[in-house]
Amino acid sequence: MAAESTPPTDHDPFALAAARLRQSVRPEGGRVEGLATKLPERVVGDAAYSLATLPQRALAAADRFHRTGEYDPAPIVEAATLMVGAPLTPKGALGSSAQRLPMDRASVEARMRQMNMAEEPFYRAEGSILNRGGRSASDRVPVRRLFSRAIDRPRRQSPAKQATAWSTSIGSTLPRRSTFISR
Amino acid sequence: MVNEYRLNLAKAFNLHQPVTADQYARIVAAMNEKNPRVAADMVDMIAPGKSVVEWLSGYARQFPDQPAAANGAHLFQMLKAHSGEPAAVLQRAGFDAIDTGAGDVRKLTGQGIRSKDAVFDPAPRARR
Repeated sequence: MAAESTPPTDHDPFALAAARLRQSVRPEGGRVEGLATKLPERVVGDAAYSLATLPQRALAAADRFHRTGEYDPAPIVEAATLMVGAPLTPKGALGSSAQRLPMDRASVEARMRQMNMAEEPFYRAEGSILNRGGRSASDRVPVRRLFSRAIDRPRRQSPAKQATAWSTSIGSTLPRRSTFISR
Repeated sequence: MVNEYRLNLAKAFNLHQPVTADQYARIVAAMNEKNPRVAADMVDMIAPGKSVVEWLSGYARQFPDQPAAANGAHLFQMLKAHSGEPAAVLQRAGFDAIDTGAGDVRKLTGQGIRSKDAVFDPAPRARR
């Protein structure tokens, strides 16, 4: 008895996989460019090209105006927009300089006064009188919230150094020992 | 290098300047939230026989700039004697800093502290 030959399968999974691969590599009707490649190729490329050729186009427009009397303001307007910014340009983007605050000293001080900021400078004050002692631990202030107008305020010292400093300062105001003896 | 700061002292409680009736009333009202008995004593101290916080509030609305205490240091000592957290009482009263007048300032909140190199943009953060 002859062996029965297996009938050809209607749904060969290998044939289907090969068809999918062929379709993805070379689809019928040719490949269509997607958005992911179209955007950087065209939009960004166009912007870079227009930025690079801006001086050249501006000079060409001026030259044309000199020779023919026809003036094309587009390159100049484009350059001005680039410098001062368009109305909807986000902050930080190229051409957003119109939204920047003036940083000269007078302008900053005027804004400072507008915000009720004290004009005299303050410095961090670790040895502030506000941070010494207190009835409870909650009375002690975080150092980051203590400020002093004096820049040369001494830093907090160890108790031994502090005692030495106090005895030195007090001793200098007391009469000398020899004065007591002579009396 | 020493960092330099600019502080907003518009709402500072000044220890070396007289306390106005408006400030005193705000502090008494803040004390009244936690300790009504002390608040009544504080009213009685400047208006003997009154002892009513609401009366002081009405008086402060009529004469807000009238001095009520000789200086802020006396009032601060009183707060320290009767409250475990005198700074918290001042903060509830609307103050955000304590100015000693001797050059030291204690900020009660993190507001109103800027580096000298700040931009000082008065626009609200949401509009920037």
